[in-house]
Amino acid sequence: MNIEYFFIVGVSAMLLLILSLLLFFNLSQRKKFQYHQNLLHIKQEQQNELIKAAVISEETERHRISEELHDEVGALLSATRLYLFSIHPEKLAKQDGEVFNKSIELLNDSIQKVRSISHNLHSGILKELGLNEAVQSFVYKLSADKFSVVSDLDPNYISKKC
Amino acid sequence: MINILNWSEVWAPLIPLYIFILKKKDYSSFRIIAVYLLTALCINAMADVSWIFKQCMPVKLQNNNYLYNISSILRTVIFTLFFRNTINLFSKKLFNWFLIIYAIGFLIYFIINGNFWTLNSLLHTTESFTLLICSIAFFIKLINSEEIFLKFDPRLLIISGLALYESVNFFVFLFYQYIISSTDKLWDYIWYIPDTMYIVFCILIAKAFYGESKEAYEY
Repeated sequence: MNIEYFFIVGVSAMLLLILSLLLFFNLSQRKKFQYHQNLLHIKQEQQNELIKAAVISEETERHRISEELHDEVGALLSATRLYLFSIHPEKLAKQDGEVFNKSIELLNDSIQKVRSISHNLHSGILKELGLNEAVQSFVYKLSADKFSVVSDLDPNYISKKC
Repeated sequence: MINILNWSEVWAPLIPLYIFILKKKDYSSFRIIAVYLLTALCINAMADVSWIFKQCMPVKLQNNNYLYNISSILRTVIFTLFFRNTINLFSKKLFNWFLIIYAIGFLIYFIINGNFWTLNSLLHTTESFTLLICSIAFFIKLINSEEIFLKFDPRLLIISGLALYESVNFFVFLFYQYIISSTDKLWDYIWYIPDTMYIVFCILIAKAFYGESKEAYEY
């Protein structure tokens, strides 16, 4: 009776041990897989955060430079132009008058260039109206040249505000 | 039904062998398992046929137990080699030393005792114990490793089958002397447990062969 009891218990215990081991192995593999997936997700999120931070930092810097150019350099150049306009070129000698006109012309070009650089660095359209409008505006500008550009944008895309 | 189970050791290896031949793929890692199946099929067929025709056999060969001893030695050697070559479980030296000690130990044992012609409980228990330890160590190694095995892996199927089969065999052969001397009818049916597990083992090998033919695995 004792041997029979030991035999049945022994065989059952051994089978149970092997089946539990297989089950535990299966569960551990699933857990490991889940852990790796979570780790991958966290890494991806961290990478996205880093990219976002880099983009925001770059955008802030561009915005700052653009504002400096527009408010400081642009204002100085405009003031210079005002001062130059207070000179009466008809009272100047012919050669000086030509130099004066050339200076005004170059100053206007400089003001235009500063404004253009400032706008390129920080597009108001992108900030105020979103990516779609900014891309369309850029495409329109390019299309004005000799070649035509076609854009295919998702109208449902909503730009995140910085 | 009982007859089918009695003959399971003959027909069960035919399932994985059929898959092996049918698929005609290059099973470089699992060729050794196919060799085992083919040899086991021959030995088991000889054992069962010699039992039926024992009246026509010489006296010494009327008992087919020596064939089961050979089958056990074959299983131990082939699956030890499988663990050594395919699984890389322990160092190869350890397996080599085990095989040398196993061969010399049992050779001396059989020379001294001379009971190779009767079913040897120690031989079968050693087989079950060794292969069980290797199977459990294999699963523990996989559990502790960083690798993830969610994809189909034929090694897992073969070793799961082996572990299930040997877990039952271990206690059957541990109590073998009692089982054969007992008059209780219950023990007559005890052999159906290893027979059933052998069918499960062969089906799992077949699944491993079938799966590997769909997805190539390199070790």
